[in-house]
Amino acid sequence: MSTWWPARRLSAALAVATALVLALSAVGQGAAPWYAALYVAVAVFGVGSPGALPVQVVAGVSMVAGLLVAGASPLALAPLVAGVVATAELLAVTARLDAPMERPAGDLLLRAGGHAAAAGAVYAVVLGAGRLPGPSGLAAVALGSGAALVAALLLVRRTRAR
Amino acid sequence: MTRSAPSPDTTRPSGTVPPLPFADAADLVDRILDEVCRAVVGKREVIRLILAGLVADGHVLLDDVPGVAKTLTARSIAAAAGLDFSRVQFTPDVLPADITGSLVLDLTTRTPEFRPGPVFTDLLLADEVNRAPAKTQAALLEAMQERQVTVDGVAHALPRPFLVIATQNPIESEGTYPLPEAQLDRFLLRTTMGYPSEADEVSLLTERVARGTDEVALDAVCDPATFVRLQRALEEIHVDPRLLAYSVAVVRATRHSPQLVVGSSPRGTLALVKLARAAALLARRDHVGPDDIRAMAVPALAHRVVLSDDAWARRTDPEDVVRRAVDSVPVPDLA
Amino acid sequence: MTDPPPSELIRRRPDPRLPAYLLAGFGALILAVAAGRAELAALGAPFVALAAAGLVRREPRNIRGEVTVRDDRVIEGDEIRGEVTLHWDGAGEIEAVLTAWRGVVAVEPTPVPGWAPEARTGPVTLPFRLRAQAWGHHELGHLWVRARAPGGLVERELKVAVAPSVRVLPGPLRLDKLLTPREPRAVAGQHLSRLRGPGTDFAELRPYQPGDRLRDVSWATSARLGEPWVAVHHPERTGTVVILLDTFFGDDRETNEALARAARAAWAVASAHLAAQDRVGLLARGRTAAWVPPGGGRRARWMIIDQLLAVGGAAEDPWRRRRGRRVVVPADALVVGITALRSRTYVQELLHHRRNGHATVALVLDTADLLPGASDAPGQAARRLWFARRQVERQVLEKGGVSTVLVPPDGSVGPAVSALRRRMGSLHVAGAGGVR
Repeated sequence: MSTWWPARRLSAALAVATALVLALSAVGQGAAPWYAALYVAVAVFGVGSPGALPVQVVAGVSMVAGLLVAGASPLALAPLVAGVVATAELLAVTARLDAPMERPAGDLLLRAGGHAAAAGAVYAVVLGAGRLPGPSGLAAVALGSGAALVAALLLVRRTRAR
Repeated sequence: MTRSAPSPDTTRPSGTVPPLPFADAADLVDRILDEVCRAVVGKREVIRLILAGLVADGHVLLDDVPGVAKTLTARSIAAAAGLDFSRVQFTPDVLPADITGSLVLDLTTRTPEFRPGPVFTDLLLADEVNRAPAKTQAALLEAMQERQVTVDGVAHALPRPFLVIATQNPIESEGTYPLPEAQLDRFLLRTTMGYPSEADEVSLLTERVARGTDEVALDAVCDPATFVRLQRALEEIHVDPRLLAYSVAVVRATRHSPQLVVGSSPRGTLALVKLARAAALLARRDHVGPDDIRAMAVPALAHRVVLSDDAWARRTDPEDVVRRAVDSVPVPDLA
Repeated sequence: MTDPPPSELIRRRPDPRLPAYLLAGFGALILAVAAGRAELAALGAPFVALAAAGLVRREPRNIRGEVTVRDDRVIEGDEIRGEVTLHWDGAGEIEAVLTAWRGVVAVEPTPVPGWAPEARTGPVTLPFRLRAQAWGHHELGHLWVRARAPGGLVERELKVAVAPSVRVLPGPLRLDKLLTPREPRAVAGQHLSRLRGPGTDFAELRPYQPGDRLRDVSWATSARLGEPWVAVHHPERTGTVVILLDTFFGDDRETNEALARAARAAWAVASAHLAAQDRVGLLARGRTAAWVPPGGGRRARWMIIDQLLAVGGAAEDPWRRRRGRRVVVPADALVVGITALRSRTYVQELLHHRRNGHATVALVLDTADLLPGASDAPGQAARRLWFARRQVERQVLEKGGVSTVLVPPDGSVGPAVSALRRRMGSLHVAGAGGVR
């Protein structure tokens, strides 16, 4: 039985389109075209295979990380970060709509957009926080990463405890 | 089987007796109902229906599982109304003579003597009538219909009032002889007792513990002669001719139902009007309303119809069919 | 209304984003520390935050459900209407599916009985419609639920309820084809009740006892002897037959063929006895007798099939393995067993009736042709074992006083019943006598 409901087809199309736009933007920022094409291929593969989603996210993050290390403006890469999250979210929606019954997807798509926007905002805020006076260099990175790690672990433990 | 004081008393009033005045009749039936409800907790509506059937001079069929106060209800009604009461437990080996009575040879005088059966009473509880063979059922039903018993060519009149509350265990069991559909027509109404609600069951236990005994002593609020006059009082309850036509229309609607192979007979129409009058009396009205007919349609008619094979296969409930028939007939405007 | 029973958690599964975000987020943080680049930490932060946000959401708890159908017995082609009711505590995104139903198809507008209700809090009621395609006993499957918190990244799959089963009776045309009475008169009139009672055939004379009917007094004998004597008569020939149906057929559900053979045999016996004015009852294991309407007809045939379908018609019900309360059949009844002899408990049931004094016979349905083909040695050995076991069960019955006869696959009951009648002659002599 086919489960390619209209909503699922839409989310798949949006995922691929987002991946394409992100790839083109990355190439414009200096990313290698072959890598950008690989990213789009992984996204297309992820439409039919949810297991490819971690590969897509890691590939996207790697692409952005490469641009950062190469000296691109960090703030200018915020849309790319949002794009990686948007692609991942849309691929997840596509996987979720793979069900024997049709379900409305408006809320899922809205949520995907919200997560993408939030990701870009968090990136920009943390970047800005990094420029504030205080510990700098490795200490700042270690402090920030450690704080994030601890906060995340605490949240996970709190969830498990419920 | 148990009996209490069977007495084919032919000196009791029979035939035409003056009816009770309406107000007295309404009061009396309320008092009987209240008295019975002292013994049977949480069943007021069902008892009201059964009482309506008995006041309408009809026999009542109770389809229900054991242990829901069928015997207690019958015994309490008899006690409250001051009627003689007998109970017969039907089993596969009960013979017709066990019900109607028989001629017995007196060994001392060598002459035959009629020994009346338990049917010679005012209110007979025929328990699990579907466990008796067809002949025994026929003997009872004939007595119900004719209000007399014929043994070896001699007719013995049954007392007045003569009322039967028959019970059937709906769970089919060994040796059951379901009453034929044609015979169910003899009963004015059929209903179930049902289980009490949780609150009523708690109240029942509370009262029992407080009382200290199983039995509730009921006071007789009338006697058999007065009960007959109460029954006659129904004739004073007015029925608008449009409601008579409405009753006929409801019964005829059952004959046109595609789910029934046999609809209700004209006996059903008579039963419906009688029960509607009794319902009006119980509601302290001297006239029948459309709601009385609607309310009594299912108890009066559901056991008189025969489902088609398809409807039976689909477990259609005859009561639902009758309800739909009632809903299909427009209520007359009496304004 | 009582609460539905608790659900069974089958698995907890992370959303594919969860490992992706954790990997990307912490990977970027580690890379930031290693490379000494603060921007990389900023790159990892959103992913860590999204993962954490997805994990902290509170999942819906105490998910319960039940499936009800309006009618548990329908005719082929009828629509079956039902409802799924789901309860849960807290907010959640719930998806429910009714799976693994057989013999029925979903009716538009819901092509598949699956739902994703928009409501985030329970309870919700979800109606469905199915159509009964083929007659038989059909399971409507299980109710499965997928649940997660709104925006959560962990999903649970639960088996919430088992849907009720539905008995689908054959339509009128198929019924006529399935159960056309074509068999000759069966064992009617071949057995005597153990009771002495009102009949017309003279049995014996004895002294009057109080309670005897006056009409039974034999005046000639009484005048001759000077004391009242009564004439006792044999009971009427109209008897009672109880057909004991065995509803265990192994795994022949798909074709219903074994059920059909049992139904044909039962109908052949029932219709013949009804024609002889006998009372005919049906008794399936665990269910009390249903009395076939004297007129026979379509209702009687449906009743037979309904009884066969009532206890599943296929897999052995574990309830049967307990020595539960046996239903008592009338003392004067002839018990006719109809069985494929695949259930040992059924054999014990027949022997129980024989020990209780009932004339008992068994029509053994030959279902060997319904066995799966055996091409290898183990398969052939299994078939031989199957035949041997059936033979053993028949011998057990015969030794216990239950006459058996094999009904061939073509369903012709007549020759089988004729063979039984010859044996019933001996039962005729043995069953008479003894005042109850």
